[in-house]
Amino acid sequence: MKQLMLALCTFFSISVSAKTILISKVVDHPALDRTVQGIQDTLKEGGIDETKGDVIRVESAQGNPAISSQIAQKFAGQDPDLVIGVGTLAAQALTRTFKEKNTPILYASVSFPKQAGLTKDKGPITGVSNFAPLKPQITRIKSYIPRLKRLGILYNPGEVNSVEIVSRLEGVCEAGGIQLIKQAVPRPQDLAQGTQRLVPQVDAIFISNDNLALSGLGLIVKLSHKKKVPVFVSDVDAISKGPAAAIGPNQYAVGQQTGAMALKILKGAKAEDLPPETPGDLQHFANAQALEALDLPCPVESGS
Amino acid sequence: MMSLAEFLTAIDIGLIYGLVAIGIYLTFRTLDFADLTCDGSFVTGAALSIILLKAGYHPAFATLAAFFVGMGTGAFTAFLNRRIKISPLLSGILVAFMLYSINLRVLGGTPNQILEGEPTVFSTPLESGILIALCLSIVLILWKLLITDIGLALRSLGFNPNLAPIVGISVTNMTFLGLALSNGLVALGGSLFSQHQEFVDISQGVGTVIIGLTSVMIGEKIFPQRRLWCQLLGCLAGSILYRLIIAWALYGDFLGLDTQDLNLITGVLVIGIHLLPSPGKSTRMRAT
Repeated sequence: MKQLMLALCTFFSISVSAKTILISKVVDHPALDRTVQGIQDTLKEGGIDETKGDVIRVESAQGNPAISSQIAQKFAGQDPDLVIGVGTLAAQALTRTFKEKNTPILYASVSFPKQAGLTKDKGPITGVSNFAPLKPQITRIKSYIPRLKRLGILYNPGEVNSVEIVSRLEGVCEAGGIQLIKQAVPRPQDLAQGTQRLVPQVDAIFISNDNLALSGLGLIVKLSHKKKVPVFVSDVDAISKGPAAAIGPNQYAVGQQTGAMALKILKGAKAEDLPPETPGDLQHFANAQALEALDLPCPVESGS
Repeated sequence: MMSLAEFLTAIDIGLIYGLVAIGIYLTFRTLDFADLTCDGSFVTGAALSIILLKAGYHPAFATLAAFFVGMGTGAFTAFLNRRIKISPLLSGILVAFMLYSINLRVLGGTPNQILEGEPTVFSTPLESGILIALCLSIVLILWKLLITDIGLALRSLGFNPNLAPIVGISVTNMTFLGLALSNGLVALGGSLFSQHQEFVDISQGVGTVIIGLTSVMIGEKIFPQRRLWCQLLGCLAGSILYRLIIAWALYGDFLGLDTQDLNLITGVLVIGIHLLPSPGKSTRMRAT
């Protein structure tokens, strides 16, 4: 009997101190995976230890809204201390499912949390958006091409983040005396034609946070660099695919930032008291090889 | 293991996709028309309902509008097939393809929209009750419809497309009717799904045909009787079972499996169901 009591006590003490953090990501994608990795690493550094009974689980909805809802419901049944939604759909599903609960919700890699309904009037919700201010990015592009007059953008009209970015970029470009030429690419198989249509009309191509365009970046770079039109991207992890330069938030750092917020909440801070954050400093990588082939100057601080 | 709430969500989503499964059953099984319009009409229903709700219309109106516009998309596929003589498969693909742009237009260019607390058909204490009542009444209405003369004509076309015109059944009229009904139901499913989830996303329709067809096949396995109402209920049951399978598959972590294995686990479970012996095999040929 004594042993049983002891076992119960131990069990109870563990279940009180052990933290359960459940992460739902919308789809398997290099940028999102890096964000999740950043969250996990930061949590572990902050003392969340899976060998001591803490739980960190990651589920992927594979891009399917119905599954993301089922994942959120599964999470609700596990009574977590904190849930994290990576990507807009995943965060939205968590917000909906946890509506009647008081579980803190964090989001990451959501470009426009307000438009997505991820605000604190919906519950204890906060997080880190991955929207990088557009003006500094355009200024950087201009540092490569001072006489930039026509900037082309390839985007998927089916991605809410891209549509919002394009509409904001229009304002930024107008203010800077640059003509923005938009090319919608609804499906991966349209990328080649879209790029070829855009290339003769522009001085440079910019791709900002568009999953579809980023997934076909190698092709876009090949087609446009052949015509000496440089490609700039906002995803720094995409620099290995050959664009002239990448200027944007570091997805891993976005994850670390989210992880830091998670630790604050786990230590007792209220989610609604933590203001939503935006990514820290923009990172800038230049691709020396590509710049040379394009006859563009290579900045001193160039990375790869 | 699985919590009650999780179980109920699986039932809810299962019932909603059950309507999609019935729609798919109507084309693929009854009419023998491989209609791929559904990937588009599902989102059309979802988008239209959300936009109407946001504009302040009554949920019942938003839901009905989705059904009728969905019927329109199906009728257009039938038009391409019967009047312009495009093959069934291509007609459906074409319409779904064009609907992508139209759906974006409906959504006013913003591909993901949420409801901000607007009332939906589920804004009552009896969330699931409404869904069950709705699904069962649709099965009932459809069953009654399919045993009328028109319904029999529709079904005969699928059984024997060569004989049907000889006995005076208009293939064109029946194709229109079947496709319109089917896509109406699929759009209704989309409408209910978006109201249940309180958001719409342009990518929502991807894989609707696969989900629906899998549900139909699971339903046929667990309700092998050839009675019509059994088959219609089988679509609902198959869809619910499919959702439960996914809910179980989400617990693959106990087996050391990861979420990226979800499709594999789901697929294996579905294959497993097909390997089960059919309980009603002996009655299969007798009852019609």
